[in-house]
Amino acid sequence: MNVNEVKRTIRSGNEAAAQAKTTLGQVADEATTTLDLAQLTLQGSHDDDVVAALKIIKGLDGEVDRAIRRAEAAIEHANAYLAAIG
Amino acid sequence: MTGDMSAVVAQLLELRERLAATAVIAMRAKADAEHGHDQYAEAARGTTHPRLQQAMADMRIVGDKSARIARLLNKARDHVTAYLNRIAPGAVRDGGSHAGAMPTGEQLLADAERRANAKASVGSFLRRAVKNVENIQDSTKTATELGETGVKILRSPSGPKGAQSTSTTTPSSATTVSRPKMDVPEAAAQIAVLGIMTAVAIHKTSQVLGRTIARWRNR
Repeated sequence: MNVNEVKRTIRSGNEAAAQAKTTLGQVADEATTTLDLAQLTLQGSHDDDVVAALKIIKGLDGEVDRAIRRAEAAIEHANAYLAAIG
Repeated sequence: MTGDMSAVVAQLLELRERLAATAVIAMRAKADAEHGHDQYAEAARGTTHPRLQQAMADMRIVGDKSARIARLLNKARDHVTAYLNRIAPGAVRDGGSHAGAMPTGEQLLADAERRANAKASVGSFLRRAVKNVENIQDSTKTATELGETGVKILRSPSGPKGAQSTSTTTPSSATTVSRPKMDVPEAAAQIAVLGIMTAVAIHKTSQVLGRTIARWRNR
C-alpha cells in the first residue's frame, strides 16, 4: 500500500458519491413527473389518503436536494484530504 | 374532459407503478452511497483525519436519506392503493397494500422491469414528448403533432407486430421483435396516461423548467 493507492481509493469513493448524485437526480426527475400526474389526477379529492400521498410526493424534491448536497459535501471533504496528502 | 372514472383509475394505477419504480431508483442511490462510504472507510484505516471522517459521515447520511426517500415513495404508494381500493375495488390486481411492509427489492425490480419492457415505446415517446414541448414554443402545433404521434404509437403499443392486431396475414417486417403481450386494462392505462402526460407537458412546461433550472443552480 502506498500513497498513490490511497488516493485511488478515495477517488473511487468520489466516483461513487458522484454516481449517487446522478441517481438521486433521476429520482428528482421522476418525482417531478409523478407529482404532476398525481396533482392532475387527484385534484378535487379531499380524501385523507389522497392528501397524505400528495403531501409526501410534494416533499420529495426537498428530500432529494438535501441528499444531493450531502454527497457534494462528502466529495469536498474527500478532496480536501487528497490535497492534504499532497 | 368527460366525467369518466376509468381514466382516473388507469392514471392512479400508473401513479402506483411510477412510485414503485422511483423507489427502486432511490434504493440504487443508497447502494451508490454505501459503496462510496466503504471506499472512504478503506482509505481512512489508520487515520482519524477530520475531513475523511466527515466525508464518511456525509456518505452515511446520503445512504440513509436515499433509503428514507424509498420508504416515503412506498408509503405514498400505499396511500394511493388504499384510495384505489376504496373507490374502485378490484382495480389493484397485485393485492395492493403491503400492510406497512416494504416491498422487497426483487418485487420492485421485477415490477420496474416488466413495466420497462411493456412500455418501451410509449415510455420513450413520453420522454421525447415532454422534451419537445419544453424545447418548442409553438405549443398548439406541438400538441397536434404529439397527438398524431401518440395515436400512431398507441395503435401498435407493442411494436411493429401489435398485440392488438387482428390481421391474419404474416407481418412483412422481418425484424419483428417478440414483446410481452399487453392486456386491455394496461393499454387503456397507457392511453389515459398518454393524454394526461401530454396535458402535463403542455400546461406545466414553465413550472417544470423553472424547477429544473432552480435545481441546476443549487447543485
